[in-house]
This record gives sequence, C-alpha cells and structure tokens, in this order.
Amino acid sequence: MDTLAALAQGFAVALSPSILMWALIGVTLGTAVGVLPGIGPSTTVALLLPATFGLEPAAAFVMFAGIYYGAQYGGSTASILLNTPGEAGAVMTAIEGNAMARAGRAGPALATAAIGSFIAGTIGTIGLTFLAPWLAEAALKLGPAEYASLMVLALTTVSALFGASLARGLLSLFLGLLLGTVGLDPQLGQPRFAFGVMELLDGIDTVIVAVGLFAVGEAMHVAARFRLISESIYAVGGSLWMSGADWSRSWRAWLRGTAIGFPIGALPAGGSEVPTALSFATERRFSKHPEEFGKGAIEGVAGPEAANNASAAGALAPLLALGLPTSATAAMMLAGFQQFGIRPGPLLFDTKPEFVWGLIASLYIGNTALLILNLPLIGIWVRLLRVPRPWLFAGILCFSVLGAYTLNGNTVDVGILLVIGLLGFGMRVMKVPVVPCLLGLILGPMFEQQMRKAMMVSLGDPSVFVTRPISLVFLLLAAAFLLAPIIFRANPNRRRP
Amino acid sequence: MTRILVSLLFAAGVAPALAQDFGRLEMVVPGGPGSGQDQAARAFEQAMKSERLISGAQITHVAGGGGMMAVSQFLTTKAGNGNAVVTQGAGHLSFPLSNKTPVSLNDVVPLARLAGEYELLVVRSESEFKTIDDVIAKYKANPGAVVWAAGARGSTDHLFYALISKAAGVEPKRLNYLPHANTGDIVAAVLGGHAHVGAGGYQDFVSQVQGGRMRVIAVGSPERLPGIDAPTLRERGLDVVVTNWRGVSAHPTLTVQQLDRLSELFEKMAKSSTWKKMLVERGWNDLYLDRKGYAAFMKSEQARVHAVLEDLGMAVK
Repeated sequence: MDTLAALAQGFAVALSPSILMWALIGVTLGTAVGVLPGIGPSTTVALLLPATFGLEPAAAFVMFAGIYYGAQYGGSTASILLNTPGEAGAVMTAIEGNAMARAGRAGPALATAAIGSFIAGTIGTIGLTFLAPWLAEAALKLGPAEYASLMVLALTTVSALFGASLARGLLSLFLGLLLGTVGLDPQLGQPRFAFGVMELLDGIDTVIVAVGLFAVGEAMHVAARFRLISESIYAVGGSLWMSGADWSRSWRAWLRGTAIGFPIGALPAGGSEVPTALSFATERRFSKHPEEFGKGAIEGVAGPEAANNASAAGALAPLLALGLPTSATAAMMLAGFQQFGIRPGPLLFDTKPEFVWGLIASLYIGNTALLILNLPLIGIWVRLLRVPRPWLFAGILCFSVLGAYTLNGNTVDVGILLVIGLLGFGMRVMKVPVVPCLLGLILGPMFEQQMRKAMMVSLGDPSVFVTRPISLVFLLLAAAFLLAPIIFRANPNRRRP
Repeated sequence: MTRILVSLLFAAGVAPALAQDFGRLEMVVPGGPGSGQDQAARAFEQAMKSERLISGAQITHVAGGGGMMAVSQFLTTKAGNGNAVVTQGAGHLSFPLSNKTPVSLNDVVPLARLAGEYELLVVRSESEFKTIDDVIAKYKANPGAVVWAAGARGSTDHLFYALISKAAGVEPKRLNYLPHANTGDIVAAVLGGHAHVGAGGYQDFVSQVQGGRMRVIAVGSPERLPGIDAPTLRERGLDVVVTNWRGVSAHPTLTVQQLDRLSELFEKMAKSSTWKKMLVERGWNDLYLDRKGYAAFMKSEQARVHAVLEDLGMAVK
C-alpha cells in the first residue's frame, strides 16, 4: 500500500540517532516550559520555535513535534498538580485532576493523563495518516449554522459543571458570557464595554481569564487560608502508579475522548475547548461513579486529556490537506513550515509526500518519546507538591504575571489578570464554580458570531438551524443532553445515573 | 553647533560606512509571531543581514488594537532611538479612522513603503459565478444574495469590496459582508460554499488556485498580474485599485540625520538584489516609496479610506 510505504520511508528518515536526540531535547524543553503556569502549549511553541531554526528539516520537525507534545503534557501536569491550567484546553483536566492530587492520587492522575494523551495522539495520528484529505473535505461542509448549533450543544454541557447549586453555576456562566461581550463587535465593528481603553478592543483574552481564575485565584485563596489548613492536605499517599480499577475506568474514557476530540479538532472552527468540555460532560453523565466527581474521578482526567490531544492531531488534517491553520498551534506550525519554503495545501500530499510522511512519522516519534521520558519522571513531578506552599504559590504568581505580560506585551493585561484573580478568589470563597465562567467567555462569542453569520448567509431566515441536517443533529443532541436526566429520573425502574 | 558638527561627521564618514556601523535594528511589529507583519519584519531582517547592512535585528511583537497598541508602545519606549522603527500595513491606516484610538499613524514619521500585494477576488471552482461580470450582475439585481467573505469589518478587504460596490453603482452599505478572524477561515468559508466571493492577496489563495479548488475572477491592480489568469477590475469597467501594502515608520523625536540614516538603510535594502529576489519568492510586489513619497501616499490614502468608511457608515465622527 502506498500510504504505508510512504510512512515507512518517513520513519526511515526520522529514526536516526541524531534525530531521536532532537526529539528528546524537544520533549524535555517543551515539558519544562509548558509546566510553567500561564504558558500554554501554543505560547511554548511560539517561544521555542526559533530553537528549531537552522536545523535540517527532518531534525526541525521531530524537535517541533517533541516540543509540541511536551508542552501539552507539561500543561496538564501544571493543571493536575497546581490547579493552574496555562490554556483553555487544559482547564477540564484541572477540575478532577487537581481533586485527585489533593486526595493524594497525583501519581495516577499524571499517569492517566500521559497514557491517555499517548493513546489519543497515536490514534489521532493514525487517523491523520489515512483520513486527512477526506476529513478536511468533510469539515468544509460545516458552515456557520452547524457551528452555531455545535456551540449550543457545548453550552448545554456546561450545566454538567455547575456542581451542587444551579444558581451559582448560572451566575458563573453569565459572568463569563458578559466578559465575552467586551471588545469590538465582530459583525459591526463597534466597540462594546471597552470604555475607550484600546487594550480592551480585542476583547479579554481567554488565557488571561483562565490563568486569573485558576492560578491567581488559587494563590490568593491559599494565602488567605494558609494558617487554617495543614500542610498535609497536599501530601502524596498511596501508589504512584495506576491500580487495576484506574485502568479499567480510564481506557474507555481515553477512547471516548479520542472519538470526540479528533473530528471536532478537524473542524475549521473546532479548537480544543469544545471537545474537552464535551468529553468531560460525557464522562460525568455516563460515569458509574458520579458521586466521585468533584472529589477526584479518574475518568474526568482521562477523557478530556485524550480529547485534547486527539483534537490537536485532528487540527493537522485541515492544515496539511487544505493549508488552513485552525488552531493557534497549527498557525505556529505553518510559520515553522514556511522557513523551509513549504506551503501546505491541496497539492502538498502530491508535491511533497516526503515532507508530509516525515512530519507524521515525527509526530509518532515525539509522542513516544514523551511517554518514555515522562512516565519515569512522575515521581519527581509529584515532589513539586512538597515545595512549601508560600514558595510554590509565590512562584506561580510570578509566572502568571509574566505569562500575562508576554501574551501581548502590555501591562493592561496584567491589570486584567489581577482583577480576574480577585474575582476568582471571591468565587472560591462564595463557592461559585469558576469553570462555567471560563466556558461562557469562550463559547459565548463563538456562538454569537456563528449565529449571526448563519443569519446573514440565510438572509435572515432562522429555519437554517433545523433544515440543515448536521445542525439539526447537534440541536437534538443538546436537547437530549438536557432532557435525559429528567426522563431517567421520571422512570423509577431505572437506576439514577 | 554640535548638531551641525554631528551632521558634518555623518556626511563625511559615517554614512558611507553604514554597512558596518548601523548595528542592531529594532523593529516593533503590530502582530504576533507568524503574523503577516512578523513575516515582513523577518524578511527585512533577512535581506539586510545578507546584504551586511545591519549586524542583526530585534523584533518586538505587540498585537492588538488594530496595530495602535504597537504604535503606542513604540512612542513611549523608543523616543530618540535612531535604530528603532515600527512596521505597519494598510489595515493600520484605516483602523483609527473607524475606531477612536489615542494614537494613529499620524503620530509616527513615515520612512518607506516597501512591499505589498494587490487585492483580488476568488470564487470556488464549482461556483455558479464564472466571471466578475456574473457576480456584479447578481449583486446589482439583488445585493443581499451575494455573500462576500474576507477579514474584519473596516479591513482592507472590506474597503476593497466597498469600492467595487460603489463602482458598480450599488450603495456599499448593502454589502452582505461576512467578516473572518483569519485567512484560513476565509478560505474555508469560500471552499465550503458558505460565502460566494473571497478577497485577499494572491498568497492567501495560491495553493487553492494551483490545486484547482479556486479561481481568481478579477485582480485589483492597475495591470494584469504575471502568472494570474484573471482580468483587472478596470478592464471590466470597475475602476478599483487596492493594495495591502507594508511600510515602516520612525519615532517623531528623531533628528533629520537620524531619519536620513534610517531611510538610507531601507532604501539600500529595497534596491538590493537579495530583496528583489525575496519579493519574487514570496509573491510580493515591489511598492517601494521613499520618505517623501510614503508621506504623500499616506496623506492621500487616508483621505480615500475615510471617504469609503463614510460610505459604509463606519467613519469616526
């Protein structure tokens, strides 16, 4: 088969010792930078991209793949251990992952994240190998109406994150939707809630809100309660490794997460936020241990981590097959390709097959290098928790501010970070969940924009949302998601989910 | 007195020895790593370095505010710095005209316009529209029925459409304009058939056109463009020429000597064989204008853009 022969050729190029060394260097650098709070994978890749300049193409791509996977994994390590996701895609991991860490199960949480990422990355890369052109074609068929309905589906799943109180959950969600309206109106170009501040015209960056609500809010909360809680809360007990029960609960979640993440990642407006949120909500709805959610349910880490990595692999399909960068990281990769004069697009598979297959082989290698390097290091990462908390959180605050500043190089962002951090602190004190706020901020503007675009294309006819089949499917799924618990509850013969 | 002395020194010795003495060029770029502005700045760096005009370059990325955040940071941090420039493009000229911003390109000193791409129109290959005339006929009959996709509202793409609309005798406000955050989204919207027409530079669409997925139906250049099989808008009776240009400006506090030294640097680069070769490789047009020419261009362009924005009802009062 042509595809396999081409892939084998790609591996032959990528498997020389010197190139493997670059893979390991990339993974190490990526993990080290990605673990810093406030610095997510795309920022890490942007920071480290120049390190690949001047290498021969094969080495550059392997190192790039290593940096990329390392950054992803470093980001989930920070989410799990410190509750400080550096990017919106890692937020879902923080919820249950950090709860596991607090319960002394940081080791299994890190392991399920690493193995889940590896499996999702592998399946995703295989999917990419065989499906990229087809998938990219199919994704183009989805237009504004479908995206708007997908956002409706994603917004309904936010309800799974509300926790005990519906009122507090909605409060948080609407706060996020409100923050999402700040900036230039995308359709009319009019400023909204910018109050004449130039830095607010582009809206409030989701990274700043993620870091503010989580890292800064958490640091303030810990500082405020420092004398009230004992150090032992973070101590590591039990095995560092996953138990049999952990494995059996994780593998299905990995596969479900991959199945959700890969196709959504391939959509031109997919991203990693929607699939990780959908995966988390799915795990929560279908878990046999719903009572554990909030206290450290391993499915809640395994699913979103797999979805995150699979969506990253999916995002490469439109990039390679059509030349469309659909995520921040894919855009960085495009810049990386250009240094070698390579222009992704419909002709790439025909004109530069050695490049495409070399890159895919690099992704396999980067993914494997990450697993080999990081599984033995889990014990060391976990020791991070033994760092006295005043030092640890001082460091987190420091890197958060640094991360916010480097994002756009302006101090207004730092101010916003601190205000959002105070908000996050207040929400923690009032027991208002912070995740719905962040998802409202991400999904609200996407929904608004796609809905308005759909109405423009349909010349104001709202029936497009139900007459286009894929859009209708998304809306029905959303309805099922909301109604399912009510129906199940009404039926006394069925065990409550 | 010292100033005269300095200028004499410059005239006598320093200027000819520019190659070795310029040192590091500092560029403030309104855009993130990998953005169009970043690519242009890196191209300047590459050309100047291989021509041995500078020892190296330091690029600072300041994204946001329609490029005005970069201008504002440039103004506060680079006063008197004769080695620093801020890069800009067509969109940065129009943004302050449609949004209230504390600074604009009027606050910096134009140094040189360097390169750019002419705007052009694309459709997907299976589109019902075969030629630009088909599009215009449909648009005139029912303005809402043609969906035009491109960048943000008020962007160069949007102004390009507005000028076409006006030339066709339809009020620009009636454009059914679908804004997008990035080039990838525009390509996806056109390929997926969610919009009828797309606009941008040829480089945005070249891989789709060569792959047979898209067709260029008209170019917004004065004459036909080499390698592109499409008529100019002028040929089809629509007098519209729009470029997405790139240029550089300096700090208003610089002395004439400092300005001379900087504009000489960019002039040398623009006339070098390395730069000419890079323009061809990247599919950019040579749009070099010197300090005077660039300043005059900015002035006339601002007036033109302001008029279009007024037609669109977007101009700041």
